[in-house]
Formats: sequence, C-alpha cells, structure tokens
Amino acid sequence: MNNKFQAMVAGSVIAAAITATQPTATAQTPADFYRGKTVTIYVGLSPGGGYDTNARLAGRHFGKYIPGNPAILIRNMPGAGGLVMTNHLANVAPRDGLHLGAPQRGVPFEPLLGNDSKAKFDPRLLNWIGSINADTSVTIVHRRTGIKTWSDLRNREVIIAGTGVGTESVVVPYVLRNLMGLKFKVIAGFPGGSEMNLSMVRGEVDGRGTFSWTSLKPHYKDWVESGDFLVLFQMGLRKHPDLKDVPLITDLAETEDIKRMLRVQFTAFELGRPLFAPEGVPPDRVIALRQAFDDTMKDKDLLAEAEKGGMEVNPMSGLEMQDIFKDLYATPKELIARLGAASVEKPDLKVLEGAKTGGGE
Amino acid sequence: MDILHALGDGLSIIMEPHRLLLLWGGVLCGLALGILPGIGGVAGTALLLPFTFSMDAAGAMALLLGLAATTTHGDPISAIVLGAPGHAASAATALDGYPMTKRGEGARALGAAYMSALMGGVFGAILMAVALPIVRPLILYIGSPELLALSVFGISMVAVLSGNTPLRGLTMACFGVMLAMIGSDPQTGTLRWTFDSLYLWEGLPLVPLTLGIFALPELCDLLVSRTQIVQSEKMQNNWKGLWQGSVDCFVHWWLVLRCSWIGSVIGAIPGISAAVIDWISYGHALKTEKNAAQTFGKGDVRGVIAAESATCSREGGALVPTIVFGVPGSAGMAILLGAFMIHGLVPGPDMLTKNLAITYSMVWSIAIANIVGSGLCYLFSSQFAKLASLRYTLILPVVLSLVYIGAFEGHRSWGDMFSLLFFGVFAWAMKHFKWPRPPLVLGFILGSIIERYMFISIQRYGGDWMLRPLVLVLFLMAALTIIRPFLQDVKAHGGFGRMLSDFHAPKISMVQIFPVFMLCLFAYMLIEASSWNFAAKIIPMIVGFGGIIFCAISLFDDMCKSEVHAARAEERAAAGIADEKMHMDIGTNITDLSNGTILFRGAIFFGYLIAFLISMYLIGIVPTVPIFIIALMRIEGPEPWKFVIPMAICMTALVYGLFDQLLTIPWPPSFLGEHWPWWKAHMPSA
Repeated sequence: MNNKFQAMVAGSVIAAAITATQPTATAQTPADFYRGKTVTIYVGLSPGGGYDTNARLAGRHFGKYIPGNPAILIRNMPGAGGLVMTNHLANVAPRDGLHLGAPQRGVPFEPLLGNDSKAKFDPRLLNWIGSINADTSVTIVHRRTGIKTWSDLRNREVIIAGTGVGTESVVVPYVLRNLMGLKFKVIAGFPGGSEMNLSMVRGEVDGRGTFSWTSLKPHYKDWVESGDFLVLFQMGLRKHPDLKDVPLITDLAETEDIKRMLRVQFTAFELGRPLFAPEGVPPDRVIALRQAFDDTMKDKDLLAEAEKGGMEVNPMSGLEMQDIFKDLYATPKELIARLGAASVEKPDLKVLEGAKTGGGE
Repeated sequence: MDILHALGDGLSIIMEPHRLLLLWGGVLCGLALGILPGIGGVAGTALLLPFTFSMDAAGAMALLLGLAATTTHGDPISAIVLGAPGHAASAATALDGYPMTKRGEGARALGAAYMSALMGGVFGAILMAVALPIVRPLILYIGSPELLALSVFGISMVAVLSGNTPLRGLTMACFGVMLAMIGSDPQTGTLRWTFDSLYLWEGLPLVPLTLGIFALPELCDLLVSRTQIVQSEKMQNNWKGLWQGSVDCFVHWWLVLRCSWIGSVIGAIPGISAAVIDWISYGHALKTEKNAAQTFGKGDVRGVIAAESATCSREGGALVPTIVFGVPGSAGMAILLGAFMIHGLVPGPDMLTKNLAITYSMVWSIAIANIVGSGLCYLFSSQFAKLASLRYTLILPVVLSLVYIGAFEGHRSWGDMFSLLFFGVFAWAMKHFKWPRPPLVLGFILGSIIERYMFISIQRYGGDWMLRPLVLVLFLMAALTIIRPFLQDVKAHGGFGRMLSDFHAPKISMVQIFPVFMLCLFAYMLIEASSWNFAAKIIPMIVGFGGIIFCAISLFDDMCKSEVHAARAEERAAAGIADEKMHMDIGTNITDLSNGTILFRGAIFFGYLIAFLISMYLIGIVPTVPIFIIALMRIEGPEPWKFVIPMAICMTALVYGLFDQLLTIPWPPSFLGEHWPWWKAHMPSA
C-alpha cells in the first residue's frame, strides 16, 4: 500500500471521527427530530425493478422502528446506473438523516475502480444503514442460442442486454469476457430490468449477463423451469442454497489473481440491496437508523409480505457493510487497475496483460 | 377460456359492493391529487399501496386503478378555464379550450372535455378487453427498431403541429430534442450541458418545463391585459353549455373513438410518455377532420375532444404490457406491478388464462373509474367555468402560488424554480413572436427515446433494422406527414419556383431578436458538444446543425420575403380562398396595447416571480406566500382588504397545512433560517 493511499485512508478516518464527535446543532433526540417528518428513500432506478420493490418493501415497515415514527416516501431518481442518485445524496441532499439512498450495489465500487471523476463520494465515509439481502447473480441465455454450459460461451458469441455504462449489467460481462474469455456482446442503453426482460423474451437479445437470483426467482422462475432459459453459472462469494448444481464462476477461474479480481467484482452481489445515509448525518440519527433497520428486518409483517411476494430477506447490518468497504479498498492497487481495465468494451491490453498471461489461454 | 364468460365474471367481481366502494375511494383520491399540484399520480399510488395489503387482489386493484385512471381528470379545468395546463397531458386541450372560454363557451368546452374523457375511457377499455387475448404476439413484435420508428413517427407530427410556420416548428423541435439530451448520457456517461450542476445530471424534469412553457405565458398575459378572461355577460348559460359540449361528443363520436384508440395503443407501448399522447391525437384530428386547418386553435370543440379522449384512454392501454409481460406501460403502472406481487398475481400468460377474470375486473375498474371520475367533474364543471369571469387580481395570486409549488415536483430543488422561470420567459417570448410551442415539447419528450433506441438498434442489428416491415411503414408515414404540408405550402405559393423568387434586400426588425437569440443558443450548445466523445455528441450535433439551418432559413425568409407573402395572402383572401393554415398556438388577444406596454407589463409579471424567488430564498416559502398575495392584490388591483386578507390567510393555511405539514415537502433552506436560528425554529419552511 503506498503512502498516498494510506494518507487518504487516515484522512478519511479523521474526517469521520470529527463528524462523529460533532454535537448536533439543536441537541434534539432522534425521536424529536423524526416525529412528524418524512424520510425519503431515493432509488437509483425507475420504478418496478428489484431495487425498487425491495426498497418499497423495507420502506413500508421502516418507519415503525425509527424513533418518532416518520413517514417513509420512496422516490425514484434514475440515471447513470445509480451514480446520479448517489452523487445527489452525497453532495446535494440535506445531511439530516431524512434522505437515504438505495443505490445499485455496483455504485460503491465506482471510486475504487478509478472512476473518481464521475463518482463524487467515498463509500467508506457514507453511513451504511444495512442491506435487505445478500444476493447472488446469474447469467442466463435463451435455449435458442444452443448453448448448454458455461464453457460454450468461449466458442460462441451471445448478445446480452445492459443498462447504462458503468452498471454491473455492462461491466460484469466485459470483465468475464476480458478475464475468462466468455464471448459476450453487450447492447447497452436499456432503461431498466423490465425492458431488458421484454427484449429477451421477444428475441432481440439472447440473455442477460447479470440477473439477480432474488428477482428472477419470484417473477420469472417458469422461464428457467420451462427450459426456455438456462442458468449458466452464478456469481457471488459463495453458492446460493437454491443453486447447488449451478457452477460458481470464481471456482472456474484459472489463476489466483483472476479469482481475486472476480471476488472484488462480485462483492457487490453480496451487498445485495444496500441502503445508506450521506456522510455528516448526526451520529445519533445514524445509530437510530441502523437499529431501526435491523429491527425492521425481523418484523413479522415484513417477513410475511416478503414470503407472499417471493422475496428473500437475508439482511446485513450497516456495520458489517462498513467493514466490507474497508477490506475492499485495501485490495492491491495493481489488481484493481487490471480489473478496471477489464471492465470496458475495449480494454487497455497493457494493463490487462498480467492477468491474461497468467490465465493459461 | 370463453372470453365473454370471463368478461362477465370480471364484471361481477367488480360489482361487489365493497370493491365498488374501494373504486370510488380511489377515484376521489385521484381527482384530489389531480387538482392539487405537487404530488402527482405516481406518488399518490405509492402512498395508497400500503393500505391495500389487507384487501383481496381485485379490491386492491380497484382502488389503485381508480386512482391511476383519474389523476389527469382535474387537468382540463385549468387548461380550459385559465389556459394554463397543470400537466403536460392536457396541454393540447388548452389550444382550443382556452379560446372557447374567451368566447364565453367555457362550460361547453368543459362539457365536451369530460364527456369525451368518459367516452374515451370506455372505448379504450373496450379495445383492451377485445385485444387482451391476442395482444401478446403484437407486443412481442415491437422491438427496439419499432419503438424508434414509432417515436420518429411521433416527432414527424411536428410538421402538422407547426401550423403555418413549419420552419419555426422544426427549429423548436430541434431545440426540444437538444434539451432532452441534457444530463448524463446512457451510452457513454458523458455529462451533456449540465454546467457542472447536479440538478441537470438526470436531465431537465418535465414538470417545471411544461408549467413554464404552457402555464406562465397565459398567466403573464392575464396580467398584461389587466382584465378578466371573459366578461360575465358574454358567458353562455353554464348548464346549457355543458349539455352542448356533450352533444358535440355524440356528434363527433367517430373522432372520439379514433382518438381514444390512438391513446390506448400508444399507452400500451412502454416508454412513450403520456405527455405526447394528446399532441399526437390532436395532430391526427388536425390532419383528418374536415376544415380543421382553418378552425383548430381558434376554439374548435373538436380540438378539445381529440386531446381529452386520448389522454383518458391511456391508462387502459398502459395496463396491457403490465399484465402480459410485467413491463409497466406508465409510471403509475410500475407501482401497480408491486401490488401485483403482494397479491400473488404474476404478470404473464397466467393473467390471460387462469386469472383472466381478475384481468377483466381490472379493465372494468378502469372503465368504471373513468365514468365516475368524468361524471363527477362534469357535474362540478359549471362552477369551474365561472372562474374565468373573475378579475385577474383574484386568480393570479392563487394560481401562481400553486404553479410554484407544482414546479417543485420536478427535483425538489432550486433548479426547478430556475427552470420554471427560464422557460416561462422563453415561452412568453415564443408566444408573442409567434413561434409554436407544441413542437418543443414533442421534441423534448421523444428526443431521448429516439437516441436511446437508435443506439440499441444499430448495435444490435447494424443497418438491417431499417428494412423491418413495421419500421418501413412507420418511416414512410413519418415522411408523408412531413412532406405533405410542405407540398401544400409549395402549391399555395404557386409552385416551387415562385417560392424561391421575389427576394428583396433584407429588412431588419425587432422581432428578429428571437431567431438571432436561438442561433446563438444553438451555436453555444454545439461548441460545448464538440469536445464530447463520438457516441455522446453525434445526435446532438446532427440535431443542432438542423436547428441552425431551419432557424437561419426562417430568419432569412422573414427578412427578405415577408412583404411579398403578405401581399399574396391578401390576394388569396380577396379571392375568397381560405386556405391559410392556423398558427399552432394559443393566439394573443392583446391587440389594443402597444408593444412597449406589453413588454413593460410582462417585465412586471416576471418581476413579481423573481421577487417571489428572492423572498423565498431569504425567508422561506410559507411566509412568502402571504406577502406575495398581499403585494400582488394591493398593487395591481387594488383589491379591497376584505378580499385580500382572507385570500392571504387561506392560501397560507393551505400551503402550510397541506404541503408543509401533511406532505412535508423538503423546502430548500432559506438565508434567514441559516443565519438566525430563531427564525428557523419558529418559521415553517425556513
């Protein structure tokens, strides 16, 4: 780890400590503050998709457990794969604990992967509140492609749909193409998940590179069961209990370096459906929000609703998330640079090289 | 399954008294949300959603659909009576509705609007009921190239909606497309024309834009003319007018049917916003109805009918892709989709087989909601129509306060206020210089869709997509729509040769400030764009150069040919040929004032608005409202204190109670509140 990086971490720790010790301007308790107010959760995608439904599910019960019982409002602020919303929350929205963000899980990786110009926040400094479930993502293709197993992807090109550049639906397929030699052609620019699904059903694209198992299972399980679509492999830090027979792509990586890079990439899936408050929110409110979130995840009504809607609840606490980001940002810079090079359509081969020669292709 | 059987089952499901009650509840909520600014139907649906968990599926859908189908029902009131549409979905209604009000026929326009909304909603539901079982392959057939072609066809309506000023229309359409490109671009993530402000990252929001473009200019002219919209003695009997409006709808039932089907079909295509449906339908009526070119825009009841019947049949169409594929056809439907899951309904083939009865109960819900909602509005219309006879000093304070709060629905930030003001001034200039406003909105809404699906089509299909049959048909239709008015023009001018002759030396006049300003704006935007990478700049560059060319020709035409053309128009008028096309916008009726007076009073109007903003910045919006109302009413009227005081108190109470307390809108912080804690602690919205 170089000095500059250490200094940066130290600086951010100090900054965090300063904000943590600052008294709130009005010495209100969280209950006084939140009473009669509305907490707005901003979702980084248009309504209807998995992030949106999960945020709405949590939002319906969250208010009960926040001291003062504020109302919860969900607002959709789509754009640039959640970056617009996260930047807005981190820089523009009031830091009063009334504005929370539910970004796409790839968003906190943007600054790490050397994309600082567009991501105007440091994930380690945001106040992570929790995540409703740790997720696993799968790659699915239609059977008309004739592809049977994951290794067929090395010999035959498939066309898959993606949303905006920089989102996981575009980045992950490029990473797999550049590091594992899987021949994905990504058509980017779809507005959201439902449009990609429709495009897949009507045969415009062959599949999706990343499809959350937690949103595939309740809505589209019959696609897989009918045999129309094949689940080729899963991506995450470990296998999902539902998908014991589906290979985990990290197990198939040829070298330790590639495996490590993929794990960095797939940590995002483990984060599931993250929720954060901007930095600088009074710490007593952050504590109250985290506690409220943990309690919400145990709420009987929420669990019953989730069960009814076929959604998974497998929560992660805000503090656990904070640790994950600390570890993640400690990954050797060289690997991060290679991963960054691998995540675009036309990679810089010089940076990518180290990984490729070790890949045994 | 037997469809008629399912249709009957669906009806009996929805006719259960408790579900009917829920449907009524939803309709009442929808109407209330539609009349009040600042909340919107989507947020309303989201707020109601939690209350539906304990209900059965059909009951919950009745409540939510009742709301979703009626949130736009309040819009025609302000569009027709004040010429200031509250939402883009009724902007076209104002074009003929407002002149009718000025003529004293406001009640007739409202009657026609609500009767056509009612009939349109029912016709739309019928189409959906018939089409549902066979619609799956049709929707599957519409791929990205078809969506692109449809949007291109939609934007070709600009040619029709530009009326007698095609070049100005095209210029404005180009400008609208460029406005739509503002923000972060989906292909490359380039930040286009955001001026380093996060407000613009996500693009310009529609609400402040449409309020600025359509509402503010009419309100400004109300202040400029200093009269009421219509003298009460000129107003026709309200009940008689309402009845006449309904009769108009029955006479023109074929138009209602066509336009409502246009509304449902476009509504069924995900991604195309409600805000263009009324214009496409209006354009259709303009092209197909007899003598429409002479009378539309001057208070023709058919214009109102065309716009409203399409708007209100939209929700029926939007239901289709939601049910069949789980792809929401509108923002409200997206939230409905969440409700589906809660109630164990999985969108897809099951909804057309196993759950067909529930599906049809939803179709019935929409139809009944339209009947109830339009019926209620119809009954109250005679009251609304009277608003037009009030003095402008009574109308302006209330409406302007609501416009401000409504604009806040955009991104809830200061940026909304600046957008509102900028487009207000811009559109007021457009209106007085006779540059049509509809093409701007059409370009704004369809521009980004066209760019998105053009990239997807090219990436996916190369050039082959242009040969797909539906794409070819739509492109051909678009080409005809553009070329036909042009050919008519050529004919009217006595051939192409004569059109290009008769130049004289350029003459400079004040009205040319506007096109010169547009040229500078285009040039500036193009210079900014030149540094972006290829995929991000290609479309804005093409459109920008197009805008410059159209604008320059228009300016040239204006400078060098106006006299000859005017002479020729007179010649034709003398010969009794009434082929002059309409000016596609609400005309000004300020004829007795000099340009200097108009400009001066317009400056006063926008001065009030700026003063409002400054005060809002200094002390917060809630204390600003009474100050603004008192100032406006006393200085402009002066209204007697017995009106001023109650008005100020009521509006302040409304803003405080509803928007500050109930909806807890996050107002931007005020200067005084930041620097004087007592103010912040004791004054709402500070």
